[in-house]
Amino acid sequence: MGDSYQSTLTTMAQAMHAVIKYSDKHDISLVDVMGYTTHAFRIRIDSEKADTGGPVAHVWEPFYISGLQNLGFLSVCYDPIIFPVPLEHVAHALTLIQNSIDRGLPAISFALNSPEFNVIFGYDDDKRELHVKDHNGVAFVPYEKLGQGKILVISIQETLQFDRLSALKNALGMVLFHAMQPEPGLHTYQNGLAAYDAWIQAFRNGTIDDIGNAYNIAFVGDARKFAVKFLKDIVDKWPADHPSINRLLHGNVPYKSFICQFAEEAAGHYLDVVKIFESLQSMFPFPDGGNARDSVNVLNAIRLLEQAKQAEQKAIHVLGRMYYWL
Amino acid sequence: MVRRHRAKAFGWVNAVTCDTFLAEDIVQDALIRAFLHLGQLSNVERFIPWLHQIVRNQAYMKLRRGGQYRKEQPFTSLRKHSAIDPGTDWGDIDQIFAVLAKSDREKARHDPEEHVLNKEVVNSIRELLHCLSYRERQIFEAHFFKQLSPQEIASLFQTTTSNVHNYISRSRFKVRHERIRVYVTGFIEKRRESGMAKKVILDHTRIRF
Repeated sequence: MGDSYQSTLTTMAQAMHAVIKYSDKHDISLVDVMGYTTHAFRIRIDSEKADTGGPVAHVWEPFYISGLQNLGFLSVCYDPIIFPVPLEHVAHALTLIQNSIDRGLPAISFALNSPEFNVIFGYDDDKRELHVKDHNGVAFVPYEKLGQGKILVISIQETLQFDRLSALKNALGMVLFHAMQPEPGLHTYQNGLAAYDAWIQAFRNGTIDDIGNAYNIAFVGDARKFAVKFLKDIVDKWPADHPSINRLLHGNVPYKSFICQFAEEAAGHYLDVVKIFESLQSMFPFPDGGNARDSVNVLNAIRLLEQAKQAEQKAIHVLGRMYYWL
Repeated sequence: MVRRHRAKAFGWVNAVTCDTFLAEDIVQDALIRAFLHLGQLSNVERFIPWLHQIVRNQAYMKLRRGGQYRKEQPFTSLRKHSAIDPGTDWGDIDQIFAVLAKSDREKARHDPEEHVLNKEVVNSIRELLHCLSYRERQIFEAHFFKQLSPQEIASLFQTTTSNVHNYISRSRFKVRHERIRVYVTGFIEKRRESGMAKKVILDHTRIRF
């Protein structure tokens, strides 16, 4: 990935970024997407295996709708939690997809070609195929695939006004809640700071899964790189002519001196997290896995995860102060 | 032994209604209901008692209400008016459907609308079963219509119970798949009839992963 910030392991953010390029707000960067949707600040791990289900263990619809709303889009997220899928849901999903594409906006879906989020950019009734793109490239998927497994369709309906300060405040609220409170979803997966405890538990129990562990290390490490960049951009790239610059916040304190100071400080803590995850990655590279049950590895991993949790706690504390000044 | 098993299909319905004409009406309703739910059953073992229950409920309902047969005579006097050919092999699913379709036409005089609906449903169920191989259909019929246990089916077809389980789960998968395919066909036709666009493909080079 390098430092280009063009590609992320959080495939939902990648898909959202791709779809946004077809909208009137096509200059929104992947860093913006990762930050304002709060994907960059998420972690969710189960205490038994630390398996690959963590990143998708939350309840999808409200989270994705809020994320897109933060970026200035009104969207529809069709995520029926019924299995097997009733047939009429297939028609509904297809209708949403085709309607979206007719309006010039691709739709987002899941696991049509690989077990990740993907973008549907075309449809063909004669061939009964959807044209889908994901990290594996372009694929032609039969319409019937929507009737098997999980259906997800996200479609942007309208563009709203985007205000940086309120979007930032909303995002920070979501980040703080995610870090400190249990989120709805699969209850065996813990979120936020508690996820670190769950992860350490999995190491201690000796039940941790090699691939899951390595995947989550890569996934969270990648997400935090975007968190660092997002916070730094608040300092560096906030538009000079933005009305907030000269605005006086609570207590008649200028924006620049307070918000930027907090952003800078939080970025520093997340950078510590990134470096810790780089150490973890050298022990447990993805996709090989390494050995998560080796006793030396376990001791080192627990120590590093504890350090990462402390760094995140410091970051959250700073973001909390920032939140209340916005 | 095979013949005895094959006769079982209508056995327990006859036990309730003593009326073969009515009995096959009930079985047809139950079959339709069963297929409508087939794709949604997660536990095949519960299917047979569940089907039993549906058929029983249908039978009781029809008897209680009297329905279109309330003026009819009991079994023995009806037999000579029945459309059932005494040579019917109840073990062959196509024959079962043929009989149902035929007797249905006769009932059309009483309720033409219901006749058309039933005919469509029965035909679509027949078509669905054609997505299975001959062997799969035999085992499918044995399990779902004659309520044979996997062990009985295994000895009937001289194979193992695990093979039978495999056939049954594969068949369920295929039938479900077929239902989705047929449904999508209907969806596309409706789109065509409404004059909606057939193909729209956006430029995907903007999508980078």
